Amino acid sequence: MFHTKLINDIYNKNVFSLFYKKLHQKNFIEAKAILNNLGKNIDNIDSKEELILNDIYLFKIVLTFHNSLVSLWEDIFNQKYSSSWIFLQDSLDALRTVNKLSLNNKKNKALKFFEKQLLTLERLYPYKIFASVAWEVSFYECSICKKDIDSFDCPHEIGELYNGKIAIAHAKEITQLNHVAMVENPSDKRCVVQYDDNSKQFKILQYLNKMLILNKLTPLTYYKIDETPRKLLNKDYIQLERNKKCFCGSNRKFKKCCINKKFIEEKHIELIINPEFKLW
Amino acid sequence: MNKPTIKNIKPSIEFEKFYFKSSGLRIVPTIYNRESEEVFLYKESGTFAKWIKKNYPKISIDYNSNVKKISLNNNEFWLPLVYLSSDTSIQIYLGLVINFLYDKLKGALSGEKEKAKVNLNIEYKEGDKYKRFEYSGNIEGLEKFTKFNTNNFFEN
Repeated sequence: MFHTKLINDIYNKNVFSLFYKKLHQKNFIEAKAILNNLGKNIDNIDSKEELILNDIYLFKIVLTFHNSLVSLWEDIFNQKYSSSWIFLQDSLDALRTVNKLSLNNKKNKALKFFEKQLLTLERLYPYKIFASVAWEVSFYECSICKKDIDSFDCPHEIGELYNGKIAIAHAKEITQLNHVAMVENPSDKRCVVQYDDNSKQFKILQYLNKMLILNKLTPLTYYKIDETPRKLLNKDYIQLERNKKCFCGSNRKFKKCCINKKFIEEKHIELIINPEFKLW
Repeated sequence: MNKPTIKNIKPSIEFEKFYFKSSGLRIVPTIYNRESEEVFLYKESGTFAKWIKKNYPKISIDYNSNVKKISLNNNEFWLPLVYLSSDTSIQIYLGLVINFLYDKLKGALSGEKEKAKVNLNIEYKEGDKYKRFEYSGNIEGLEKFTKFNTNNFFEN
């Protein structure tokens, strides 16, 4: 995953195994303490070599991912579903950065597992439409050289690493808010209509919380969703002679109206929980 | 993938001038709000221009970043309007766009790459006529158009 032996060795020292164990036990405080110590160790590395500095940045993103992961499950455990969404998006964004910056765009088995798990989890939230804001901006300043990042004068590319620093475009002189649109596929999914944590929109998350408390699920559980619609018996259905007026009040003949509505289809989501994935 | 459509159009004078007298490509600011005449560059214009300059240094790019940008929060790479001169084929340009998109999708999570959709409009000179080609579909579908011969691009 990393480009240098030095950082690869630090990563492979199995310290993450202990972290995963603590996460599995839902010991969120100790899990965060492990990440904190790892962060301190990585900060102590003194190097001027570009590859090592870039790997340190990537390592910190891996730590950011794990920190967001802990906060996500901590919030679900504490029934804070609304704020857990932000940590879920933080985790997914960190994974995108790992994909982009790691050697050959490949990540390890554990991160692959979490990617799959979190993308499934994302579908359990009620957010399907997001606010998207269009801005008019004079120019974007490069976080590294402070020049106009869109000009040929700036040698940096947005999202690329340079001596351990990532090139970010800072919007300068936002002259106007052009419009706000509701979209299905935003670049930032954090812009959502907030629901109360007790609301029915979080029904599936409330179920996850119950499973967590009952120890039937842990942050390391692999689960998938079956979204096959269910057929339910239509309680209003009355079997009539074909040429009689339909029971629904449409004034049409039964045979031309509700004859085939004995069963109604209902949206149904089933969470299939598999034994947990061992990461230690 | 929707079936591409082709229409006869009238070119702008500015384009005709560039097409016959310049080389490479020009990134052109466009009107975003129909009520106003103000022109903008789409946010990814600079990223795209710099990416071409870095990866294809032989291609000449006429680009001025000193124009107001319009930025959306929608998850799209909104590439600019580009004029291609007579020495630059559509196939070469489509190849650039495809490689750029794949490069920018390197960080995509599982399934996101497959969902990426492309909307493309090309206005093209064929003999004495100018035509517009419209495509909407995935990146793989767009790749098919890079394999056509320039002379019979539209027949294909």
